[in-house]
Amino acid sequence: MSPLDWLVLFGTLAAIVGYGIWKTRTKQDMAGYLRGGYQDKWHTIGLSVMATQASAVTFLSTPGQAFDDGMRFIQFYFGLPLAMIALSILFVPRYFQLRVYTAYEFLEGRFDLKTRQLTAFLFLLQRGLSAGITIYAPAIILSTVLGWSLNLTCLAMGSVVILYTVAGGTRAVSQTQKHQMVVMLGGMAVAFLVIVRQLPPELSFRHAVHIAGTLGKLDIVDTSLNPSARYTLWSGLLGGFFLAMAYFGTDQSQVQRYLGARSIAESRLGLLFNGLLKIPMQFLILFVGVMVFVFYQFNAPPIFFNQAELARAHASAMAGKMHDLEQAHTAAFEHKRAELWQLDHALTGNDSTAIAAAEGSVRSAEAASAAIRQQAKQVIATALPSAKTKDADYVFLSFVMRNLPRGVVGLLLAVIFCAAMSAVASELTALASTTVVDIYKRSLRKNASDAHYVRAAKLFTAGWGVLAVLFATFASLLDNLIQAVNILGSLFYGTVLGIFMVAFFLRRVQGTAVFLAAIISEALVVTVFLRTNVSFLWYNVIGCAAVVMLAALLGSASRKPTLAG
Amino acid sequence: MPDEPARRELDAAPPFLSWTGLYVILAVTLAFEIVLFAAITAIYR
Repeated sequence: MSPLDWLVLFGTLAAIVGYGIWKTRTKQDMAGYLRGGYQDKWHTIGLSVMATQASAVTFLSTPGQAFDDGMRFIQFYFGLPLAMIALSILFVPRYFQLRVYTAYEFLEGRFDLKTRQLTAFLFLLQRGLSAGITIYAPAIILSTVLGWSLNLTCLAMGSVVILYTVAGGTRAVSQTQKHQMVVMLGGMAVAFLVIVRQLPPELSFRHAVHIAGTLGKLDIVDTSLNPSARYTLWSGLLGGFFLAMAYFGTDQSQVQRYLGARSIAESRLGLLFNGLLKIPMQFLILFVGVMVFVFYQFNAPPIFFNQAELARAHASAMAGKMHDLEQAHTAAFEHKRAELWQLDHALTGNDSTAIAAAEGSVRSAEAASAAIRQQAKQVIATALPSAKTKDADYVFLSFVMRNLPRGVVGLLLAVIFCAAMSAVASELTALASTTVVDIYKRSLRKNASDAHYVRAAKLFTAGWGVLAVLFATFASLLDNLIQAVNILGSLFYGTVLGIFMVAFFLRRVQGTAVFLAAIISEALVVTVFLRTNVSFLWYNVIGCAAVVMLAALLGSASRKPTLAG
Repeated sequence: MPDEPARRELDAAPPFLSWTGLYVILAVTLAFEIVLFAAITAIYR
């Protein structure tokens, strides 16, 4: 990395963190520290909600996913705008009416303490583990590509976040996230423009898009009804709606963002702003990945994007085989590039027969090239049994490091760090507020002073932060656990959403009925996960529907018949 | 029942348009995006 890149990276991060600490330098009471003191306007809320959801993996893996699998992933977000409308109407007024600190606090008033603490516990379990992964996932990619120490990368990211989160609480998080989100969106827009400029000058943008479409990268909408297909229009609309309802409506890391708004109107507007911008933002990130794909149709790509693993394979007993495959890959690339220029020529001539013939040749050439890459992955797996052969996560960062100009590299690294820090910061404040409000203040230390709870919140924020960094440091030893953590969210969200739905709509159902319904429904969701291959987006629908139906059933069974007077 | 100031806050109109108007804009934008993406899929398949 050049000195200019370092300057851009550290300058951006220091300015944002410094601003967040400076803005929140005054002494805060508990409401100010945990809820932000009702000061934020709608644009701060909207950007903060978006920054909380956008982790570093969003910017590292999503372009790689488009490179590998095309843009179908965008369907995952189709339910989100509708969920923002539903949350604005149903959830926001209720939270504001009761002036709650956490989403779970609302459940005690409506049901009982055990239901409140069950949902708080589910949140702490799932979010506590995933905070470590939020640090680890980008750190492993950054350290591999940049040659940095993995543990130092985890420690650097974690300690900066702990510093400003402990110092300024929720308001520091919102204030920094606003600027982090601007850097993220601006950085990706710059990346897009620079990548398009790096395409061959003879190739028009229109033809670049046509090539991406010919090679299957623009199959965006899938209307099939197959429940095991991960991303379809229907799973995106329905499953995505329930997932977004659960995530934005009941996950404290999100609820805390819009509870800090000046008013209900500002809070609602912030959520609607998120609903309006989310799909265009994801489209931009995925389209950047598609343009990187087109770039590598005209510039020789590596046979395997994780260069560290590739170097290890070259140093192994399979080096000869690897070398042969790389030569075959280069030859296949040259052949494909020639076919692509034929297609470009046919497109310029607007001759439909020639275009169809050239498209067929390009697809065959791409299939041949993909087969060689697949063989290389098998060779790497044989040579290095512990190596991961999925290299999509490394595509974007290795492209950035090799091909983008000085300064832009630093800006995109700042994007990735901003994303990691903003997501972790929200998680830490949410974990701390849930621990203090739902557990510590409610059950362990009921009548302490306001200053005591602020000190406790700071300690819990730091404690959860240290735990997240430790978990991230040891995560490389626990690969299977990481997968489990990633699935964990989808396993619990539907059930938690169901509890809130019962709270809002089934007014006669009481605590014990909904508590039992939640336990049974959770067992059902886990069974579906273990015994079927139903896509995880449907777990949210199944869990929520099961809680609502069972609670209604158990609620009506437990009500004693009364004699009419 | 919420008290009067809380009630007023609940009923507060947005600074522009109306809540229904904003919800309709969001839903129509989503519909437009889905149609646009379906068209891109069909054109480049």
